Amino acid sequence: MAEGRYVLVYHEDLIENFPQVWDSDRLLATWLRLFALADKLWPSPAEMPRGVNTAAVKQLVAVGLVEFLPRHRFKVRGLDAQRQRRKDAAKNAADTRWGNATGNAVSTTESNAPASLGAMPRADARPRPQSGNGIGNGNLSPGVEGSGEAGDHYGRLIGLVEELTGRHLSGRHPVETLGADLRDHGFDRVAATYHAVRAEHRDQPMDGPGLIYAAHKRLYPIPDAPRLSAAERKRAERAEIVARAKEKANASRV
Amino acid sequence: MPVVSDRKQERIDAKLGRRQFDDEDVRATLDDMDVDSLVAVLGEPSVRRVYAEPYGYWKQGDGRPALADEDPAVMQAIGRCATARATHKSRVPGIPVDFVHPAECGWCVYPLEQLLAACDCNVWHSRLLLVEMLVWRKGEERGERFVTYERVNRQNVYENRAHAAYWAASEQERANRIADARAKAAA
Repeated sequence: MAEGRYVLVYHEDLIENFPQVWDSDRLLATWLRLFALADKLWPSPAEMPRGVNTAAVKQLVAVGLVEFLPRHRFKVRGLDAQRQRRKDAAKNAADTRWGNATGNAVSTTESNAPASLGAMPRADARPRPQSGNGIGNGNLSPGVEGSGEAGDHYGRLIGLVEELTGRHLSGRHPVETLGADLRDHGFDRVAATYHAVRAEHRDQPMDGPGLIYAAHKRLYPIPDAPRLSAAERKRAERAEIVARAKEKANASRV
Repeated sequence: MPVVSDRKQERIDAKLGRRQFDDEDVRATLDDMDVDSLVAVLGEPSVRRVYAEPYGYWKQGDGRPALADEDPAVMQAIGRCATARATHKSRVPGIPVDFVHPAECGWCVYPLEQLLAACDCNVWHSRLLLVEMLVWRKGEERGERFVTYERVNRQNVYENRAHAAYWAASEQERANRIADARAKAAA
């Protein structure tokens, strides 16, 4: 299962430096919400949410935990530094992993990532179609475990996308979506879906992400929820409330 | 399965939480609940009872009328004698005889006022509950926002046990008891 997003709170620093924020549920909740929002959008500044408690925000600005920016945007103190540290650590770890260590991540990566695997593959070294027929041979496949056949399918799918669209495929998210679809549905089904989507839009220009996302939607159709009229919806809601009340009455009787 | 309403339309349970009893949906929802559920959702109600009242020939504090009786069958017989007299007052001179009052009875000798006083006393004594309402309120009484939700809990119930038993009996049995009462009065 994929992990949910998280933010890192150095609570000891918070208690020591901003005790008034730590001690106030209102301030702490507001700050944490703003922090989570800013972290999600980093490095871009986040927009102040509409429903935010303005009095709490003013206090957070006053103590210096939040900084107002033009056009209703804001920054959270320490987020830039924290994210930059994490970015550097990740970069160093990757460099170490691929034999190009320069930074401080050596100690953490040595034990589980031997630096003997050659050069780190770069975007331009990704599997390419060999002769315009959609057949690739790479094994760099986000979302696809291991190499060999899975990696081969991954390369072939990318080649297929580029062949069907006539464009170079770029961007991390489309490639990850492709990898996830391949893992969940198998090469044949995903490839057939790509062909079907392209055939549907044969008269229109289409890029790789467009094709991948359209196919993804087709692979995960949104189930048709029963459409209720206003009267039916009310009736259903009433029945739900009555059932809940009945349960409550039974519970209080027990 | 939770049902999500249209955003533009407020959920009924939100209106119910505010006791918006004048809202059509809230009333319809409450109408679907039994009394136990209503109490669970809205809390204990206040109770309003309406009893049958005497018609003015006798009132509480006047003392027991001479012809009043504990037996509902006797009071039925008295009531029928009074009814026959009132019905035929303008048309038939003398003691009327009809289906309600088939023959001269032991109460025919008494004035109509005494019979009606006994009947009025019997109305009070029978404790006939016309309606018992459970009432949930919101707002200050006589205030602009005062609204209530009311539910009929009991209706047309005799709280006097003798009367309740009499009216629970079959029609034939009631007729027999009235005939017995007439016979005793005539004797």
